[in-house]
Amino acid sequence: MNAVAIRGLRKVFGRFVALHEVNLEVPEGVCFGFLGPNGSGKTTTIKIILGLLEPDGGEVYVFGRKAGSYEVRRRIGYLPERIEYHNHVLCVDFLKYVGILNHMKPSKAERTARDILVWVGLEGWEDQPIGTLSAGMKQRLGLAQALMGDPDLIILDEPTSNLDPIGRKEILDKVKELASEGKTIFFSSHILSEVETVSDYVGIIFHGRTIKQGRLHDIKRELIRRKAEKYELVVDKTSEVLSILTEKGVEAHVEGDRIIMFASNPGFLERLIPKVLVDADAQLMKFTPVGDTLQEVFLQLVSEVSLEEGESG
Amino acid sequence: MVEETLVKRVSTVLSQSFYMIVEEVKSIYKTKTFVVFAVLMFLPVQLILVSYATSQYPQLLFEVEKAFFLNGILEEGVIDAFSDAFASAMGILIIRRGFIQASLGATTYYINIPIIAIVTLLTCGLVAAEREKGTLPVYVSKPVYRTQLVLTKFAAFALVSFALTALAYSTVYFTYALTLLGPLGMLFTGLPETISMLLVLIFFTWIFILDIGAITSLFSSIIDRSILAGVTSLIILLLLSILPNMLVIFAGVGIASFTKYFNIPDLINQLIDFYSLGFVEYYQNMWLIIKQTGFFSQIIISRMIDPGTALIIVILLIVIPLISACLITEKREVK
Repeated sequence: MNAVAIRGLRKVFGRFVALHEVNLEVPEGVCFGFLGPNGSGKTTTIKIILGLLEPDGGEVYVFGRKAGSYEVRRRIGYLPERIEYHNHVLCVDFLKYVGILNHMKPSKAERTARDILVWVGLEGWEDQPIGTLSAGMKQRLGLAQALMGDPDLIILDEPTSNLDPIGRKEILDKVKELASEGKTIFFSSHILSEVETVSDYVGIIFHGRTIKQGRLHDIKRELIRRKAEKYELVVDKTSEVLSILTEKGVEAHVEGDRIIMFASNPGFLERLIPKVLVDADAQLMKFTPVGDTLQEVFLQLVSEVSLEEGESG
Repeated sequence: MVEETLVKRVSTVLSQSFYMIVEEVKSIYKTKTFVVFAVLMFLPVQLILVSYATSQYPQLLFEVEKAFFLNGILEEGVIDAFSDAFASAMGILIIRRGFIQASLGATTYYINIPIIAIVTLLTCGLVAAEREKGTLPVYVSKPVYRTQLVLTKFAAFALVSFALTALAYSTVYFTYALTLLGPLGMLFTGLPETISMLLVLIFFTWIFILDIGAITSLFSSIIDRSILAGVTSLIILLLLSILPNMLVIFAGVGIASFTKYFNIPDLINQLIDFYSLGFVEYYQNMWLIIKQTGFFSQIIISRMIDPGTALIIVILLIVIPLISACLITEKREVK
């Protein structure tokens, strides 16, 4: 069963269409990375999944039930993108309250709260007012809060924004740990490298439309295959290699100490280059497709969509 | 997933609400606003009581002497035998007139504006602060009804404000009664004669606080910024308590037949008067006022309202805003 299933979701704020058509399927037990640039509709989608916002069209199901229903809310933990706390409240009291909201008895809620605080690395801060915590600690408190009540689905909305690299790593490590325990994690971010490190599934949203989803590995491979027409080659005998390449009809030029080549069909250059190197008796230092990072793949996807939108509009 | 039965759901919700109230009460005690609230509840009442009792003492003494004289008690040689009774009578009179009238004055004329201000400040964040802070999305995505959130927060506020009101007035009352009557006198003469007045005073001051709190909560559920919600309800409440009186002065007494129903401090004032004095004494007083002529007696008469109606209005002014606040919070999207 899918933890989250969204079909044809549409949401309008006044005259602004926030979500045109979002389709998502998040299988149970995966760490799902929900990717998109700022303003693409990630938070809106999440709030609809939680039942905080009403959809204007389409269907949203969480664990097979209507999103936002009482039964569903028992199984969800949520960390919002922006959360401030009442500064005078103690960490443990805040978590205890959240535990009570999750139908826990106060004594059990307090015990669980203390355990979770230790787990997120806030040991010794349990009885301190939230106001004394640093930004990174507050974010870990937010994560702790999302874990109260042992939810099956954990929704984290940009958990690493506003954090320094160390804070980021701490949060991501915890997310990885949760994922390895078999929890379903729905993780939104606009930073691709983050998603790459923790997620196995991704969905990409842009301008209120999901433009791609599936296994991260598959998406990356497919896109790189489609995109990788530009290659970069670094050898010791640059001019000789270049002349052989031009003879063989490859479109190539030199940029600094690198040779930039364009392949007409995939796999062609991979087979050709070894022969060229042997012919020129050159030593290979680097041969790589340009733009194999997810960042560039993402940018390309987004630019394709913008182009289509421009044409249709 | 196993569906719960209705009974189980109701019991879960009730026990959960109870725990939520406990946590809320604990958290209110730690806010700075609460400390200001507490100080404001205690200080003015005490100041006014002391000044009132001192200024009214000769008048009260005269009244007691007259009463004893008329009853033949104050004849020569008998005074000593009745000195204790005289002191008790004096004490009770001061408690009855001094304490109740001064507290009444304090509640309705002096501290009503500070009470309105501080209660507004204390409740304006009921829903709005959670929206502002971003904790509301967290809370409402848990298995809890939004109505529960509003009502438990309000209940916690109601409990705390009741404790504070009761404490403020009882402290003053017992200090007063003890100094005037002594422990035994207070126990056997003072309490039976005057305790109902104290209870009436506490109860209606509390109702007054709840009125303000409920109306502010309503604005808190409509307006996203708590300070804006507070200011809006403060302006409206102050207008409701000041404007009617000003309108009467400028536009004539006739307008009061309409505005008197919305002047919350005035309604509370009349209710305290009615229930602490009792039916007979209340209408005797009213009769005295009616017999007088002049503009101010006209104003007082024009603002008179049937105590039953006043009671219904002040209770509806709690219930209706609160239900509206719940409905609005249930329906509104959490952005």
